[in-house]
Order: sequence, then structure tokens, then C-alpha cells
Amino acid sequence: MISLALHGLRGGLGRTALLAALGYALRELGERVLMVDLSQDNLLGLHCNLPLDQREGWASAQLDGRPFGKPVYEVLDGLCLMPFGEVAQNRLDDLADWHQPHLWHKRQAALAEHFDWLLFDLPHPVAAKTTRGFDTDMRILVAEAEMTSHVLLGRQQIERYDLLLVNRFNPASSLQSDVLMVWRDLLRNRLPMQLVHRDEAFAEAFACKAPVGHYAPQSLASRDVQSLAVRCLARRQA
Amino acid sequence: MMAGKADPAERSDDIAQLRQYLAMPTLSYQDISMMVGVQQALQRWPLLGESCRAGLEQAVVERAELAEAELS
Repeated sequence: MISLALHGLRGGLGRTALLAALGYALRELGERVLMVDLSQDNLLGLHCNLPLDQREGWASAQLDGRPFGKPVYEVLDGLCLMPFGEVAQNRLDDLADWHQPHLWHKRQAALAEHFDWLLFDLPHPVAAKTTRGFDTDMRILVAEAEMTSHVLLGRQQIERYDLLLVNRFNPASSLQSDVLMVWRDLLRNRLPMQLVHRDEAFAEAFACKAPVGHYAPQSLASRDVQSLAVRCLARRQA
Repeated sequence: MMAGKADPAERSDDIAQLRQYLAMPTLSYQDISMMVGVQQALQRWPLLGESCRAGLEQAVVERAELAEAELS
């Protein structure tokens, strides 16, 4: 089993939709996938057709003293989801060390025999100490080819990551093309890069509560995410 | 002229020869058009240029420190 997390250089980069899309694409390649929502916003389930008023999740189970792994939804054959669940703001502190790597290390071991992939939707951008050290086999840094990402990228230890995923890339934007060219130059031989193009299919897929590969399999975004999944698979088989 | 009979193993490697000539074994291949493009991008967007200059200066300092450490 391989664990993977998407780390965001900042918030609002579309990581949750990407994670749902990647989970779906890996499942299409015959892999058994579990997606774990570590964000209190509890949005990942909505990308996979769970009802809006769904309250069950690993965090709510943990707070009620039930086993964390109980609320697992099989959204498709081979594609499972563990939502965060609905937790009141004032009870979040009671979760204590829920985002600590050591806690999830133990849990990963317990889940390993059932899945080929464990995908974590992390709650915060990498600037937050709580998620920077989150330990997985594959660490993907998500950015957009724009200046906030560029400035924050300069503050990162990029050796910590396996891949820079440039999301929502718009080749018609001269600024984005320039930023990408500079990154290719700066990161050459240090950090591989992969693109996912800007595509309305992502927003529409969420509005239809489906991963983009399910909603629009022929879209540019779907093909980009399929490439990403193939790359991840090559890593697993290596 | 031995056209069509070139042995791939003997094919000249320009970059390798250049490295040898310049006695710079770590010289990496640079795409000239990309270098020009990068320079233009850094001029076009001041923040991009400023950030890369800062990064470059840091790299120069680090290289100098490394060279000093190797010499001592």
C-alpha cells in the first residue's frame, strides 16, 4: 500500500476536487483506493455523492468513543471514502492529536491490507506546522502558476516533495506560461512537475457531486488526472 | 566519407566534449531559447524578477561557502 497526500502551497487550490479525481482515476486503473478527509470542512464526501446532511465520519466516531475506521463508504467498487464527519467547532480541541503523523502511521498500518492506496485530503496549506510534517509515502505539492504560489514556493524545502502539481493551468495566460517556464528552469533535476489544465469540468463535476473522471471522462482535466494516476502507479510498481 | 555507417557508440556527444573542454564535469545542458525566454519573463514581471534575483544571490553565496569549505 502507498499513502499519498496533497499539500497545498496555499488554500483554495482545488485540492479536494483533485484528490477525488485522483482516487477515481486510480480506481479506473484497477487499484483499491481509500480517500480520507482530514479537513473539518467535511467536503470530500460531496465530491462522491454523499448527502449534504451526512454527519458520520472518522472524527465524529472518535469523539463518540467509537472505532475511527467504522464510517467507511464504498462509493464505487474499489473506491472507498472516510469522511471527517460533522464536528462542532468547540469539540475540535477534544480531538487532540488527530492530525499528528504518528497517529495516522498506526492507522495506515491497520488499513494497509484492504487498500492499495490511501489518499489524504489535508486541511491546511503547507505553511501550517500541523500538516507540513504529515508523513506519507508520496508527497505532492499543489500550486497554481501564479505569483502567490511562486513566492511561497521559494520558501519551501522542495526536496521534501515527490512532485509539483500545477493545477488550473491556463496556457492562454502569458503570466502563467512565464511562471511555468521559470519553474521548469528553477526546478530542473530537482522536482518533477505535472500539469492539470484549468477546466470548467471540475466545477461542474462538483455541482453534480461526482469526481471529474466520472462526470466528464473525456475532458481535458480528466485526461490530465489520468496521467497523474499513471505516474503514481508507476511509482507504486517501482 | 562513411555516410550511413555511423556506430551509435562512437557518435560524438557535443555536451560531453564541451564539458571536457571546459573542464567542468558538472556543466548541465541548457536550452538557449529557454534561457532567453526566462530572462524576458523576469524582465516582464518585476516580482518574478526580484524573487529570482534574490534566489540567485542566495545560491551564489551558498556556492561560495561550499567552495570555501572544500578548500579549508
